[in-house]
Amino acid sequence: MAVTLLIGISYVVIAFTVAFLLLYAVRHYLLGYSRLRIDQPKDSMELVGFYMPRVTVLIPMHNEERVAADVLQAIVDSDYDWEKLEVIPVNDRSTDKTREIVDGFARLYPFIQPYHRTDGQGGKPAALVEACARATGDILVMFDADYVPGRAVIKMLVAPFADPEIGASMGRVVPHNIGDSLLSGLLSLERSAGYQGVQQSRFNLGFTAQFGGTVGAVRAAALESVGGWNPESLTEDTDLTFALLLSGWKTAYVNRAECYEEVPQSWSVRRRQLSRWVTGHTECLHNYWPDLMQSRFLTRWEKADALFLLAMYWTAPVLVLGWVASLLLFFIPEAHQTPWLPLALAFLGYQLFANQATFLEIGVASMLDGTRIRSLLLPLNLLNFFANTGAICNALRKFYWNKLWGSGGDGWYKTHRTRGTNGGDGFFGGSGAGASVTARSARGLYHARAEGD
Amino acid sequence: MAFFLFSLFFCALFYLHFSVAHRAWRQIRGRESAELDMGYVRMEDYFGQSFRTKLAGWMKTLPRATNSTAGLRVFDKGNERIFVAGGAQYPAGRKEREILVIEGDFSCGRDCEFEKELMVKGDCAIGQDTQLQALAVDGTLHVGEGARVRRWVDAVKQLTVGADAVVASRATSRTAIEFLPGAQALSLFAPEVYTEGRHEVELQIEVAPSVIVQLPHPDRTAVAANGYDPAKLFSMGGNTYLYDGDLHLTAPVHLRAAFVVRGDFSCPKESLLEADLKAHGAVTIGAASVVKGNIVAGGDIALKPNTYFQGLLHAGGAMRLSRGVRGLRDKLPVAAYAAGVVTMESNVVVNGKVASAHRVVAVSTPVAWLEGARGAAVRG
Amino acid sequence: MLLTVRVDNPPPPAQSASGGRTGRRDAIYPHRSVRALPLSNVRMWAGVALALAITVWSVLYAVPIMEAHSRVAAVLAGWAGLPVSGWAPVGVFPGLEPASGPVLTIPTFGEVSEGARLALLLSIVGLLIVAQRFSLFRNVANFLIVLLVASAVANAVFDSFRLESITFGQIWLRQEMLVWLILPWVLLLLFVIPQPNLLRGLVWVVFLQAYGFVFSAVRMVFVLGMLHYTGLIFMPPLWFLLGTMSDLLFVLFFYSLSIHRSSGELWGVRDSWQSHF
Repeated sequence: MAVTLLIGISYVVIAFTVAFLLLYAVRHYLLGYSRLRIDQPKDSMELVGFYMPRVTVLIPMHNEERVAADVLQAIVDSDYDWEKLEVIPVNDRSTDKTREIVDGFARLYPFIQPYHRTDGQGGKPAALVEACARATGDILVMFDADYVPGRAVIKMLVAPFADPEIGASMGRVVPHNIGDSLLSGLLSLERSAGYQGVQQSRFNLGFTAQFGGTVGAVRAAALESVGGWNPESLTEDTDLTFALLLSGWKTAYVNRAECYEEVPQSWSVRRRQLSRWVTGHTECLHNYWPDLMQSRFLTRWEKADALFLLAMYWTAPVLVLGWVASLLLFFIPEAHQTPWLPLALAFLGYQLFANQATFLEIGVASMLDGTRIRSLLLPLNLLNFFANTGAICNALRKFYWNKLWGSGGDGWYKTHRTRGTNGGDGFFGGSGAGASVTARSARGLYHARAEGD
Repeated sequence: MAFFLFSLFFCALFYLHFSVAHRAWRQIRGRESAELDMGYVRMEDYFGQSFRTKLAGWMKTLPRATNSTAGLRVFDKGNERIFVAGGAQYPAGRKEREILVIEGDFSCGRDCEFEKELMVKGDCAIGQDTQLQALAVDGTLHVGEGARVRRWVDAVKQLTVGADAVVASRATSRTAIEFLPGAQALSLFAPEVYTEGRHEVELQIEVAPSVIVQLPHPDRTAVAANGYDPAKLFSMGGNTYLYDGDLHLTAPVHLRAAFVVRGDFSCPKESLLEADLKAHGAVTIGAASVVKGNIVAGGDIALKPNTYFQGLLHAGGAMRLSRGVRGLRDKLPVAAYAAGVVTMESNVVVNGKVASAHRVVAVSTPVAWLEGARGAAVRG
Repeated sequence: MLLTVRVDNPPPPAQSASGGRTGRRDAIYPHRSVRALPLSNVRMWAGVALALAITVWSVLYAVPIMEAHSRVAAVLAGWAGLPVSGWAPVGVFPGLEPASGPVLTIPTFGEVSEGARLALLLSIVGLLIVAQRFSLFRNVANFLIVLLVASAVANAVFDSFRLESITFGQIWLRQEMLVWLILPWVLLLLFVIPQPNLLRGLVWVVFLQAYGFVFSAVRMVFVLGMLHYTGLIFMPPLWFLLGTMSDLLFVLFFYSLSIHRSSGELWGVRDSWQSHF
């Protein structure tokens, strides 16, 4: 009797696993195929440079002496009009030389207006809340301190705001430290699929892109209308995406607004990053899903997409449940004779079909990006897949445990930076204020000939 | 022992599935990504300028070919050659297979064919039905009727794209582009882009007529009138409003706040749109209207005759700029872009860019620039 | 009130300031952001036709296919020195004629040699070291350790726990047969529809279907040998790694090769991509 019950439960679990993951797999395939289409009706690249509102660039910094000069130098070199630009490096209680570097830049460039925090709640969201109050721009552009934006990125991020429905825009992050470790190489594939594949595809299909908060911009009025940043959230960017969505604002994705980032190169750093994302994301799921389902601003498909996005980390424990159930069935000899062909077919189908779905997205992104060598790393990504599954399950276990017993969760955690550790040279080879300041950039829509050409 | 050997074979076979990845990783290890062009800035006339720069570099560094003849310098560039001449007139039907650089004026007769790029430092006139690869001109450029350019054209002075001529990619000029009926291009960018039959006019637009729809309407409980139902209006915050459904106004509108319509939008003549407008469907702006904000549509955009726009137009579908439409503003050029076909009627002037993901096409329409306007022409 | 708009085309906006770079790239190519590879009906329907043909063929010839699999496995088992005493008929699916399953002794936990128990211990220690030293492998290694320990405990507690080799053959064939039915459709989705070269995509499908068949026989013989020499102790991790996970692995491996090739071919081929820049 007990054995029969166990077999029955195992089959129910497998059926649920198959159904749940097949839904996600279908979504992955649709997004992957959709990305291959030519039509990109919402593409704003043709408007770049024709829409130039006043912009405030916010750069939260906490002990960023290794990378601060790089990001500030990159912004100084950008092709956005200085007259319409304000840069606020938010020095959040740094104890290293971040303050000196930032002040050095501020002395050279009057549009850089540092904000030094010395007390108050810690973490990036809290710092952003205070910095936004000082911003004067119509559009707020956010860069993480370890990101190095290209010269045209600000113009590209701002262009979608010509559409009054756009509350935020999101650029693409590209890992530059791909060869630091196998993990960073594999993460570069993941990032490629996530941005070149999924974000672009979702945006093309009319769904809201996920605001990343790292290479992104937000309309100041829209931010104010939803009550600003949520300082309690571990993923303030995801939180903002859905707060905006609930008020009718959409997030645009600008694939061409590319920016280098540093991905974790050790698993311990990656695990903590993942844990923060899982916690923040799942918190958003609990906070927003009832309102999302009732929102008058969203279509049925948009609601479904939003729910898929918010519940995506649940796929990991469901997958593990499916594995455990299938192993249980293996250990129970009575189960071997159960002629439940359709379920077995579905289970095996999902094992192949569903698990391949995420790899299809990586493949599509690799083809579009032309990253030939890196695409060969795909089989090793299975390891990353297992590693992620475990870390996500663990983070979700902690999240629900804390929720159940009311204990505090993880605090905000800054991802460890490794750039500039060997000798202090930054990305551009300059580590101090004003080092290697390049000539003022051309800002026009026409190509401007340099002297002597 | 046999099974031990089989096990070794099996392990090798299993590893084989990772071996290529392993080798790839050994190639990547220790490297940094260099896939981004961090210095990229968007330039509308990039193709022409990039070609000029490369050409200048080649002519400085490439060896001159030994078979150079008097009056013609020839440079060897791998599998292709660069011919440099002072000035030239090609007769009809001539075929040129090399890169051609003309340091003076250039003209060619009809049905010529240029397989490689052409650079002209003086003025240039291309004959009818001629086929070209790409064309950079430092003077004026006239692309003849029915000519085909496989890639781009760029001129420093006036560029005329003749009737039924096709530019498969971008057409740019630092002065002006005249786009004649039947001509097609992927994008046009110049301080002035205009079509045939251009007239300068002075319009007088009634902005306070007896019946007008003020958006956003101050009273949400007001009854529906003139095609507008206040009950469908929601505030998104940030002085932006959403209208849930189609909005076809029957009286001129005065739009004062950013407005999002979840459906189609149309307004009659002499409307005044002072803020940005977005419609998930199509947008039709009545004749002789003034559009000071941006217009974004998920579907088509149609600007009726003599409409004047100062911002950006972005259509997910097609776009039609009717006769007499003007696009201009201070400081920055304007831009009109559609994912579908952009049709420019006669007497359209846009100071900036007109672009499409498919094609921009000029059509000939009767010159009736007074339609919808109360004003009169100041000059023809 | 009349608003007068004088549309008299004022002077054009000022030209850009100087100081920019020139000659940004060595070659002009469409940026990857605007690239695309439109799905084509020809690719889709040709792929669907092939996948359907393979599936129908697999259903119609299920028994001969499974028999062929058993014959290949028998040859491999001979090379591996496994003392298979014969291949007995075993029903794989209801309604189908039986296929052949291997007849080979599989000892219980009490019957296995000390060497096998030592191998269990060494495996656990080895996996612990891997988990400790290679963080990326940690979760897989930990999962395998859990499976090994669970298996050891289950075998030790239920000493009578036994799996006949014929039953093993039955489960294996049932699983792989189902995989072969699904595989053409998965391959269609990965190798044919979203890739540029139709002919190569179709060749991939046929080749991988055949490869899956042979690879399955090799895996089955290896697992059979392990069962024969070490009993059921290693069965769960072997099942986990060499079951459908290996089917996933080989598809992934060849998929990476096909993407590598397609990506190289398409880079810089202007006609394949949207031309506007």
